Amino acid sequence: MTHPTGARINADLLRPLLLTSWRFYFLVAFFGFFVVAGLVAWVSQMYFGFGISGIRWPVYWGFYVTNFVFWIGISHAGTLISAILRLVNAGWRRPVTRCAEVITTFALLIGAMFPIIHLGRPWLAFWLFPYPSERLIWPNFRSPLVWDFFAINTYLTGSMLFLIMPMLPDFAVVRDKSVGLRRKIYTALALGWRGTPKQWHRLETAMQIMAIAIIPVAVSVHTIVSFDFSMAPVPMWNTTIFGPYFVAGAIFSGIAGLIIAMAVLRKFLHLEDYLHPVHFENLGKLMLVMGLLWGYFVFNERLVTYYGNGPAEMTVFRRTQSGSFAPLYWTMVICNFVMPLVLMGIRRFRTITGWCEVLALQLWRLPAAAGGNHHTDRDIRGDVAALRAVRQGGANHFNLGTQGRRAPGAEPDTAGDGRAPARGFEAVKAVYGLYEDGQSAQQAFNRLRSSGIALADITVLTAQPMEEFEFGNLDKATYMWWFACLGGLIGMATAFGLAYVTEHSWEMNVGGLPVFAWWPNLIIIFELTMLGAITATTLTLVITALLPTRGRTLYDPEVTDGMILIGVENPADGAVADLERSLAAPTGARVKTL
Amino acid sequence: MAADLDRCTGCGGCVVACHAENNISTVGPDQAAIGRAKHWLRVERYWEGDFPDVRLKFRPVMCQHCDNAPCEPVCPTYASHHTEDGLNAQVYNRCIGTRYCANACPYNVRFFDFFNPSWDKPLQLQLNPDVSLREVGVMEKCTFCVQRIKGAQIQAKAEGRAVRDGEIQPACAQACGARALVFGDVEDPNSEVSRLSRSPRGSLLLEDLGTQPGVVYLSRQTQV
Repeated sequence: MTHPTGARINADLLRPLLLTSWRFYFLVAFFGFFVVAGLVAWVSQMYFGFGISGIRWPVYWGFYVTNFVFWIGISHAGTLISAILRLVNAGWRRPVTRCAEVITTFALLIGAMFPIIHLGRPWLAFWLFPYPSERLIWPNFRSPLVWDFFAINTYLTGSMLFLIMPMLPDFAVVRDKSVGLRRKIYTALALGWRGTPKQWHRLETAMQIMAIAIIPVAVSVHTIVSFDFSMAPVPMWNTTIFGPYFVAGAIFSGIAGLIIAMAVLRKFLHLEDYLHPVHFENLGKLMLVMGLLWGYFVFNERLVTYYGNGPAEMTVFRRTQSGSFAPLYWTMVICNFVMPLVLMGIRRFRTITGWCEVLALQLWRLPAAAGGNHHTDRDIRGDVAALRAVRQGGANHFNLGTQGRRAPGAEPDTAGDGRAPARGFEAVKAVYGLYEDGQSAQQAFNRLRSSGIALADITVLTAQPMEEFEFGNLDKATYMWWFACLGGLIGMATAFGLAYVTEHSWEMNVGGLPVFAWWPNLIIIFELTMLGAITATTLTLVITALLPTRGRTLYDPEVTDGMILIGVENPADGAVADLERSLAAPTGARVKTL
Repeated sequence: MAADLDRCTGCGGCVVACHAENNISTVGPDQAAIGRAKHWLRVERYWEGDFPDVRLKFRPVMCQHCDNAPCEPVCPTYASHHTEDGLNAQVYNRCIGTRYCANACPYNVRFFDFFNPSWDKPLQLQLNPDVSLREVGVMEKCTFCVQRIKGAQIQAKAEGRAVRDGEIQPACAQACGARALVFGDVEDPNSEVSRLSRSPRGSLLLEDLGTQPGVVYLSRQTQV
């Protein structure tokens, strides 16, 4: 199996960015039509009244909340999976993570939209935000919806940063490869990324911290979404199993969404060399695990209900097992449990990419559990899920072993020479060498060192972290962990202040309950602690590693094509010849003097 | 409040009185048919036995004004909250329409305004000026006629006395021909409603949920 390298990767991955075919505009128009249709629907819902939504008494939550849960679930594909894979250092993760993180961010944006559409008076949605106002009222920190607000905002912020941070080196690539307005935009986005060992280390540390912070946040987000249901005394909603059940279901459908997106990208952007069948295979295994977990929760929920034999619960139970909701319920079980088990449990099916397009929409749990209390004769609310699973078998199936033959011979793209340095990196007086591999770079580095150049005066720029070499290990020490902790503490204090001080400043009568409630507020405190840590990490990264490198500094755009740059800035006038000799010593070196 | 099911004839006078007093808009037959009628107070009918040996029971159900109300903690904006008097209040201006309270309410007595209210002319002239109209997108529910409670309290204060038992009459209780509905202060052991709520016939709706409702139902006695 050939792994494409350096300039070829750049050329391949930039192709869809730099070349836009008519298909793209067609797709934008096609999906834009749906967006416009949705907007029209929403505006008319506000104009004519919420009644046109079709929601009715006594099931006041319907399609919008279902959609919200579904999309928040899909968002667990990304950041969570990529964070876990990063922490366990799974090498195969790299091509997968970016796709996963993008899904997370967009799915979250879509998901977070629905609670607002769902509101009776959406123009007042900002009242959930705790700000001092003339109303002298704060959001009710006991309400799961307020937890949602904090959790989703934290997760969205974290996911976006988690997506953008490791993209900085890639922004730098685009910056170096593009011209005109695009170059300006990407120069700003790259935040002065050059690829010094310091930047690579800081980025790596930041991503470690983010990965650790984002996992509990992701788990908390979907647990809190499940709290929206389980905190209400509604039969089959009011259950302790909902938290892990929702989280498992979310990751499950998230992986499915990820697999679909990857398959589409692979096919249409021709990324066969980057997204290998092994990635689908591994994700398939992960999905199998989550599918089993999901099945376990469903079985558990049903069995316990059956043995508990509460009259209200049993009404729902019967409706879902054999009553009006049974078709939906059993479709859900088959598509979420039986089919994944077969498709992913049996190796012959699992290695076929064709099925990967398969399983998507599991978590469509129509959020409506039952009332059916013998007193209130409430309409049954279905605690059921719907699922669509389309098997596109045989469409595009090939086995693992064929991949080697499919990969075309890798030809490095050498068209990168002779470009002007990127804006923001104005020419400085410098001597530097460009090296194709780490060994020669290390030789040059050693020669510079032995000729008496201080470590601080040597500039090292690489296109990827090179920790296996000495020159890639400069500037490793960092206080970033401490700053993250400090940020967390500030977040914690803010949350406590928000919750405690404000609730006591404007005391509400809460029916004899304590004005400040510890348990619910712990959720807010947790979310803001994590938000603080994430923000502090990002700020530390930007301030210590990125901003100082802007301006007049040594840079060569060939670095982003995989060359390693070793050089000295502002050398003493007499030393230039010496330096050039040292830098030119390794074979294949190209020395430039500015 | 106490509701004596032995006295209730199911006439529905309380429902009409409630609509008139509280400016509850009617939604029309189409909307009512899909379950969007708003009746802060409804009379539930239960048939027992098989024909011809049937018995009919009526139960007027309004907001139970729970002491431990499930609708209160779930509201993100404190629109649903507890008053000093122990009422379970709904502040329309604060409501952003999440409808969470209605989902949490086990009695299904909270209603959502799916459209702006409207009245066929000249019915808009009979609107009660003491009660605010609710715009589209908010929840509304029985207030125990809080405007009457406040009115009586102000009157009593002006006259320098305490509110007398029976002085406050919600529209439903006032309209009830059989005097099945009795309103008063349960904290006062001598009030009529206290006396009734101590009755061995008394029970609370869905008592096992622990909501501590403020309405006591005196159950129908076996027919001899």
